[in-house]
Amino acid sequence: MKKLWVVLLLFLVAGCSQVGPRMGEKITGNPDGLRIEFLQLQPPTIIRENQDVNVGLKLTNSGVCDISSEVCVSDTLSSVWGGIGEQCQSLNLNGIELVAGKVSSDTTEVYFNFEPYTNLDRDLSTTVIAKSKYRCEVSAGPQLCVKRLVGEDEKECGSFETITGTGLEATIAPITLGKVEKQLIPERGGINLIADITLKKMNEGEIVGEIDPSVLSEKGEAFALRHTPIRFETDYLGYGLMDCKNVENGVFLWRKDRNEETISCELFLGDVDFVDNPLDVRLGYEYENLNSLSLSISDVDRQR
Amino acid sequence: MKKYYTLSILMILSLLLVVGCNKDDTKKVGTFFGGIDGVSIEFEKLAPPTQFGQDDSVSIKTILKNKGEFDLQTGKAKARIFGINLNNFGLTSDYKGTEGSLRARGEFSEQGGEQVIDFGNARYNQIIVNSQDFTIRARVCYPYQTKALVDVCITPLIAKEGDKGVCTIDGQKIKESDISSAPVQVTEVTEEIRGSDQVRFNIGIENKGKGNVFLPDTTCEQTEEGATRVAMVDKLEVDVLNPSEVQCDFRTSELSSRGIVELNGGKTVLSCFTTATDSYEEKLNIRLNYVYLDETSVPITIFESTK
Repeated sequence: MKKLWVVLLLFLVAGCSQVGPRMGEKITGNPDGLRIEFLQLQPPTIIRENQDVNVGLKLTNSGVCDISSEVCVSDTLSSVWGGIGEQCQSLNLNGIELVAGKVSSDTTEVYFNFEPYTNLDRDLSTTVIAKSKYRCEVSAGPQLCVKRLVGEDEKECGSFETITGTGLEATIAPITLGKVEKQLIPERGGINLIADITLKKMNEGEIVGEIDPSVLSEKGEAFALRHTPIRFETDYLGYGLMDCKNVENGVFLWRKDRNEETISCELFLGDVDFVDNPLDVRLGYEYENLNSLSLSISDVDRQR
Repeated sequence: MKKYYTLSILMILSLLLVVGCNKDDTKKVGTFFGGIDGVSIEFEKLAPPTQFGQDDSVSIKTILKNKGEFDLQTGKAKARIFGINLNNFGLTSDYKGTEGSLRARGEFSEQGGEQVIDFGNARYNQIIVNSQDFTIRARVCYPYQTKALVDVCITPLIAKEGDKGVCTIDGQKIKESDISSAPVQVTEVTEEIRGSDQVRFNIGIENKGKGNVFLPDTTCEQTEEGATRVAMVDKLEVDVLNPSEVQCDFRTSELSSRGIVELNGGKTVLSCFTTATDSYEEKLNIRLNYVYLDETSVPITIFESTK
């Protein structure tokens, strides 16, 4: 009898324990991308004059974009004392993928060897900087339902909806979807679909990119310094591109001091049937991740 | 001993299960089978499959089954696909009628008739990254009729008070199998004496199905158009065939034996009356005429092409 209970329990456990997404499913979640870590004691935080400097980095790609770029190491100290000068190595990391139902991240370790710091006349300190810039193009977006009559079938398809979490189908990338607020507005001749799309940026790193000279001349240098461009396009699949505020020629200017931005888009659908259809938000941007480490260099002569 | 005890319990449980599963609900005990079924709609197995690739062309078919007690001629029941951007799938939004009749449940066909509607092949023509989930929906639209044959008592006040009536007006008049199987039901027939020579019937009508009711002359296409839809939804025609002199209080027309009623929250009560000079039993014969809309859905996942 006990055995029977054990078998039943095993069936139950096996039936309930679904792990991670299935093959072919989208890998979705919060914004994430390249992560750079210094390997332990590479370099140590205190080094001596004339000591070889080795920098070891562990790089992990936690986003979907494949990285084909380079990783560079430099420091903030003048080259007069030798030591770490800028060195770059190529970096190729695949985007995250599903392996046997689990999310797998590509990771690598790279090593840089530098000449020692020399001719010091005092103890010095510097900051070692490791950075990598790469391009990311992603497509993400939830299913949005639309219907002919606002107020009808509200349970099945709300006229006003806020989509967050897994329903967003936010592809994991340095910038991805954070929230979509949908409104269906009845207008003469049909329904107007309004989607306020909030984009979120990962905490580490920043968007880099050059603002178009025409924008620079139109909006001024101060504005250009505070903003950085991302490519932004939203398509309610099969119905056409949405018209989005502050998006010109497919470019949205992101305020550098913000971790999220909301873009308001709309599309007149006319006399539309009840439809559940994907909102396809396409993003493209250059992203730079960096990590830094403080280093003290001790003057050997002074120690004597 | 313990083993035999366990086995005995298992055998008793199995027997109970078998007995429970063999319940025959197709038996007809009176005029009608009864029930709340009309025409059901479902997607045919693997049409569409629940998962397929972006390059696959998949068949889309629905099965309509008439589980109610009203015959539908060829093409009267129609269905259409919706819930997805049909252009993206190469499908059309038009209603398609059945290519054969849908026989009602009856003495010779206890299961009722069924027909398949073929919507052709669907192939998704947009970009897919990894996979995309959709819900394909299908809507059936058909004209239907509910029949009610209820024993009522026609008796004047004098006969009731003198206890000389041959029948009683008290209580619920509907018995099992008095109403035909259909999504809109006559749920209540009660009587009361009105004045010295009138009998009043309170006829309760309710949409017991999951779908929507429309006026009987509504076309399937009109049920989809905003303005006409609002004007025609939740309304149906009531026709009291017998007793012939029955008059009903239809809000939108003169006293008549036939008119339109409007459902409020899916139900309504219609008041009718007739003159009673003598005491006798009678069959209250009612027909409800309407167009009914019901729907079904199937979730599908389309995977990105690996080519």
